[in-house]
Amino acid sequence: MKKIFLIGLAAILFIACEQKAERYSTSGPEVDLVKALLADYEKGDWDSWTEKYADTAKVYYNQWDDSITVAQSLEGHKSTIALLSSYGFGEDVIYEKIISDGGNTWINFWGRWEGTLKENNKVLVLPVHLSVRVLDGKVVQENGFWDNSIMQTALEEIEEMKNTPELEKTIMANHDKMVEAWNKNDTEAFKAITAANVIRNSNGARQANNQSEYAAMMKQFHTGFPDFKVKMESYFLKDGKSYLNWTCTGTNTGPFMDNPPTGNKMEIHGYSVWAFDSNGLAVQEDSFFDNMDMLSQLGYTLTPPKAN
Amino acid sequence: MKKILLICLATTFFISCKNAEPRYFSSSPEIDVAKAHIKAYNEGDWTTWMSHYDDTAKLSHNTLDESSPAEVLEALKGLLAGASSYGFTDKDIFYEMVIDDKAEKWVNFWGTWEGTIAANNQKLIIPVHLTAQYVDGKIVEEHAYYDLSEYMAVMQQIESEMVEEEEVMEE
Repeated sequence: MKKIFLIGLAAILFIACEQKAERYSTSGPEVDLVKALLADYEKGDWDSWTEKYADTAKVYYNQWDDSITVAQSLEGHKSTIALLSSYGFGEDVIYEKIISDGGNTWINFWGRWEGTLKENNKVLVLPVHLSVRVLDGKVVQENGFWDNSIMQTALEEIEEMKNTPELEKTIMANHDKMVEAWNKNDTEAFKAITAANVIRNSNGARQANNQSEYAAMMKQFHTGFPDFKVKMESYFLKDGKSYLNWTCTGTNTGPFMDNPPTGNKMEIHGYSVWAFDSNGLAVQEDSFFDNMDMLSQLGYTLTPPKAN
Repeated sequence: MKKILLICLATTFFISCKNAEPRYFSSSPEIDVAKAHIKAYNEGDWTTWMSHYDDTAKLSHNTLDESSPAEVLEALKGLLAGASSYGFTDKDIFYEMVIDDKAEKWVNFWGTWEGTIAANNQKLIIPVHLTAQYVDGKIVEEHAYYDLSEYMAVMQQIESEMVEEEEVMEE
């Protein structure tokens, strides 16, 4: 009798134990099924992909109430993929299997989707969460969560670009090249996008009258700050002029304007108005920033004038 | 002898069972914090909302970039500025906690955000998923997934209507 009791006890404990342990795991056939589903998606093997869903499977992307069918979901995926030259989830993904209070098996997935738009080679990165219910080896429900506005905004940008006059497109492209030329201290690249007699005014004072003088000024910053970087924060174009906010950073480890290095870091924010000619070449920059702020960050101090 | 064997067997199961601590929870102190967190958000009680985060918490909403709770709060306030009412509804709301392979506690939340845009009284329904890691009852890492495309479309529409109105007035 005791023996039976003990065997019974052991069996109960074993079952209870198994049930407890199985409500969360990161492996198992259901996880493998969803992994294979995503592999099919990445390969575009849509027959194999479709087979993994039950016929009556319901798909909910960014909504709870109105489900779509697997066929509709496939159509959606294909129309998005048609816009892309590459897409997929990298290696950095998380899968988990849980058994809900209702006894249902769900596979939760978190991943980083990356796609490149054919039209302009822009790379889009979307964090994606999928919650997939698996029953008898098939997906019966899929809930997806991600921010579709990232894709929508990128597509709107492409549309806008199509309606943008050629000159504006050239100016926008030269804008990006200007930032690159500044960051790389690339005189040749700078000369290619500016007029020979390009002017720079800094806080209202003339600083450069031609490409060579402008390039010499760029060099001065790179000598003083070998890690010098400029970032374009925002800009808008109007009537052949661009109005832009920028941020410059760097560490003063080289001589700057005939002064020895201070070793200090600086971060300054400024504003520039760039004028372009009818070919999209930059002809003038009016730059405004707080010079005192930059010098203070470098450790310079202001001495008040001696009283008369 | 058999008896000893059986006792040993039972003990082994008992110990292994003890070791197999539960890793899935539909209620826990962390879930209670998560519920209080959603309540504070609904009520706009940002002091309480902020108090649920660790000072060094890293938040990523619809991005891989990390922000501080204060930065996310500022962004959320910006999103909510145009809403006359908002909040998570009681419908389609799920909380669960898991202890992952790294022994980290993660609370997963699925909910329905409902809001009304003040300018045109348009109602928006946005499903939201949050997954947050808790240490000592505080959120140290949070990832959020929600679709802002409908919200952006409404905002763009309002903006273009305003521009049209201005143009009409100028004429």
